[in-house]
Amino acid sequence: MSLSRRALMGDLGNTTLPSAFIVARGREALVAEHVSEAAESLVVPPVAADEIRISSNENPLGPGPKALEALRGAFGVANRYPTNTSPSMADLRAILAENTGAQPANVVLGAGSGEILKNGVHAFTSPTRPLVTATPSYEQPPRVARYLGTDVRRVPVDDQGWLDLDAMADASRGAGLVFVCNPNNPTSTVHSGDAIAEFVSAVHGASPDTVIHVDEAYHEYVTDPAYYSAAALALETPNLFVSRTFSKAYGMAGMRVGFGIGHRDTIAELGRFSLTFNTNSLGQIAAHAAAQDADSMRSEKARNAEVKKLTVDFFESAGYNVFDSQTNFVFVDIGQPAAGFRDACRAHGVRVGRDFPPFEKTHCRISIGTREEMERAIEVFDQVLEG
Amino acid sequence: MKHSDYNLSRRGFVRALGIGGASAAMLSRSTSDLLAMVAPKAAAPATPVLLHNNENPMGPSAAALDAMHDVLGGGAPAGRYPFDAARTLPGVISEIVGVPSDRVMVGNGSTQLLRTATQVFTSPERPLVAGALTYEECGGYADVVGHPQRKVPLTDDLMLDLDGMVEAARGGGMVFLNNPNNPTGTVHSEAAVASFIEGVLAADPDVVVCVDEAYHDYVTDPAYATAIPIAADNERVIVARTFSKAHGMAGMRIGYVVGHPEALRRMRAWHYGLSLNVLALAAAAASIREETTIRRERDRNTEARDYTIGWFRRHGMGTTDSQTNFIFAETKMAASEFRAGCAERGFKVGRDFPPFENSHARISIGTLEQMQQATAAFAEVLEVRAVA
Repeated sequence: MSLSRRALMGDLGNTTLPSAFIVARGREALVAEHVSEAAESLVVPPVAADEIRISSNENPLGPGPKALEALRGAFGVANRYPTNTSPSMADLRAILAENTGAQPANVVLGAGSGEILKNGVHAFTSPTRPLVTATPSYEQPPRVARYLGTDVRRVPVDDQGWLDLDAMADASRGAGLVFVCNPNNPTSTVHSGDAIAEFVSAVHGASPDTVIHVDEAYHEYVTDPAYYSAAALALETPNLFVSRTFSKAYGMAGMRVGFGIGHRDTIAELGRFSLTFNTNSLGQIAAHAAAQDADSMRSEKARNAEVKKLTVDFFESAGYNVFDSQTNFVFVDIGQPAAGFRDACRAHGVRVGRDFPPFEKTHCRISIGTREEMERAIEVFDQVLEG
Repeated sequence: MKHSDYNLSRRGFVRALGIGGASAAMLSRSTSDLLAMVAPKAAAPATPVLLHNNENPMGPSAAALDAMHDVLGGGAPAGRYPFDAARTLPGVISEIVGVPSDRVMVGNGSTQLLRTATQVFTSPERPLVAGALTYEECGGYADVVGHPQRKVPLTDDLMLDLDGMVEAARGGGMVFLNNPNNPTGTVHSEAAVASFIEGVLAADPDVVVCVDEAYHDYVTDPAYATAIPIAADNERVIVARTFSKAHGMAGMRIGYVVGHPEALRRMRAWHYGLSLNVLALAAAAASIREETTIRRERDRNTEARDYTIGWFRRHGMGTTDSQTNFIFAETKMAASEFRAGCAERGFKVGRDFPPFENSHARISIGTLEQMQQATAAFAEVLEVRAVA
C-alpha cells in the first residue's frame, strides 16, 4: 500500500482535519500539565478502525495462545470476585512469586502496574518527603505527587536518553521515593543490572529511608545482556521494590493486570493501598496462564526485536538518530516538532506518540507494531519527513 | 425437593442416624463424623456453593457475554489500552439512568469510586461519617490514609440511624449512606433519603453525601427510589452503583458514580482512570441496556430470598426485611460456628459482622435450588447445636 506524494499533500492540505482534534490537542497539553491520566484518557482521540496505532507501546498481537484460551474459558466466572475463581488472586501471586524465587508475601497485584505506581507515591511520599524522578520518564508518579502536595525533583536524562543515575542518587537524599523506569519510557534506554545495584547502594548509603521503585514494565523486551532485573535484589533489600506489567510483552494492556515484587515489608505497606479486588477475574486467569507460557514470550520478544530492527534501520539509514531501544518502542530524533509529525502521520492513518517535553521539538516516540504495520508506517514516515 | 423434606425434627434426624440412644456429649463430639457417614438429605455439592460474597449466581446477561466475545475478537483487542471504551461508557450509562453525559464516571467496581470519594472528600480534619454496621470500603480506606471516622450505631431494628448520622455530619467530610445497607439488607424510603440528604447538607456547608446503591436493582419495597436525581443536580451528593450485583459481573470490576460535574472533577483529580479492562467496558455498555434481564434477575432473586427468609422465620429465627441479594439472619449462633458447619456441608456463608458476630449470619441468595439445598444444611447445623 504505497502513498503517492500527491495524495499525501492533498490530505495535508485538506482543511477538514477535524477541528475537534485541534481542540483536543490544546486540551491534551492542558491535561498533561494539570490532571490525572483518567482525564487524559478522555482526550485521546478515538481510533479509526483501520488506523495503525503505534502510540501507546502496546503489543499488537494481544495475548499469547495459552492466555487467550484461558481468557475465553473464563467468561463463566465473570460473576465471581477474583478471590473466588480458580486460579484465584492468591494463585496468581503464588505463580508470580515462584517465577522469581520469591514467596507470595513478596508480591502485590495491581489493576495494571499503574496502580502500583500510584500506590508507591501515595505510600512513600508526603509534603515533607519528595519524589525524585527523571525527565522525561513515565509521567504518572509526578501527577500523583502533585495531587498529594509532594515536591517533585526532576533529573534530566542525558543526551542519548539514559537516566542520570548519579544525579538521581544525589537528588534522593531525604526523598520519600525515587522512581527509576528501567528501561525508561519514553527514551527506551536501559541500565545494566550492576548499575542499578550500585545506584541502590548509593541511595540507601546516603538516605536509607528513601524507597526506590524500579519500574520494569518493558523487562521482557530487553536484549542488552548486561541488563538483569532488580527483583532478586529487592527481595532481600528493604525499601526497594520492582513493578512489572502484563500490558506490554504479555499483550494484555486491555486486561489491566500488573504486580509489584520486593521485600515483604515494603510490599505489605504498598498492599495497604491496593484497590479491593483490583485484578479482574478474567485478566487474572489469563495472566496466570501467560506467566507459564515461556514459548509465547520468547516468540514475542523475537518478533519485536526483528520489527524494531526494521524500524531503527529505516531511521538510521535516513540519517536520524535513534536512542538505544530496549523496549517495544523507539525514540527518534526527527529534527522537527513531534506535533507536526504526529498530525501528518495521523492524516495517513498512523498514530504515533504524544509530546515528551523537553524533547517535544525534536523527538517522537514510535511504538513497534506488526511487521506489516511498520512497513506501511515507514512509508508514511518517509514521506512526512521528506516533506 | 420440597421444603418439607428438609424439615427434620431433631428426633427424626437422630433416628435416621440409627443412634437414638447416643448422648448429647457424643453427638457434640462426633457430629461431623456421623453426618459424613450418612448421606445428608441433600448431598454436599462437588464444589462449594458460594453464598458469602453477595454475587449473582446467574452471571452476566447473554447480551453482555456476547459483547465481551465480540470485543475480544481474535484476541488482539485485549492488548490495547481501554482509552476509547472508557470515554464512551459514561455516555451510555447516563442515557439509561437519565442524566446528562457529564454526570457519570466509571471505576474498578464501585469500590474504587468509594475509595476515591473518601480520599477527596474526607481529610485528617474532616471525618468520614458512616453507620456501624455498614459496607466498610470507605471506612477501611479512611483507616489506610489516616482520616478519622464517626461511626453511628444502628437503631434497634437494625436500620441505619439517619437522624444520628445527620447529627454527626457537622464538621464531617463525607457521610456514607449504603441504601440498601450491607450487611443488614435494609432499605430507607425515597422520602427518608431525601430528608436525610437535606439534613446533612444543612448541617455543614462543605460535607458531601455519598449514597451507595450497590443493591438498587434488587429492591422490591415500593417506597424506595434512587437518589440519582438529587445527585445529578447537587455538587455535594454522589450516588455509586455497581455491575457486580444484579448485573452479575463481580469479576469484571466495574461500577460508576453519578454526580454533578464539580463533584466528579474533584474525584478525577485523584482517580486512577486506567483501572478498567476492555471486556468489562463492553459488557457494562451492553448490560446497562438490559432492563428486562435485570427485572427478571430481581424476580428470580426475590423468589429465592422469600423462600430463604420464610425458612428462617418458620424455624423461629428472625431476619431483617432484606431488599438485597443476601439476608441477615438471627441464627442465635456464633457466625464462625455456623460458617464452619455450613462449610463442612459445602456452603460458604458470610464472615463475622461485629457487633453481631455471635448472633447473626449474612447469607447470600443463590438460585432457588441452591437455597433449598442450603437450608437443608442450615437445618443440620442449627438444629445440631440446639441439643449439643
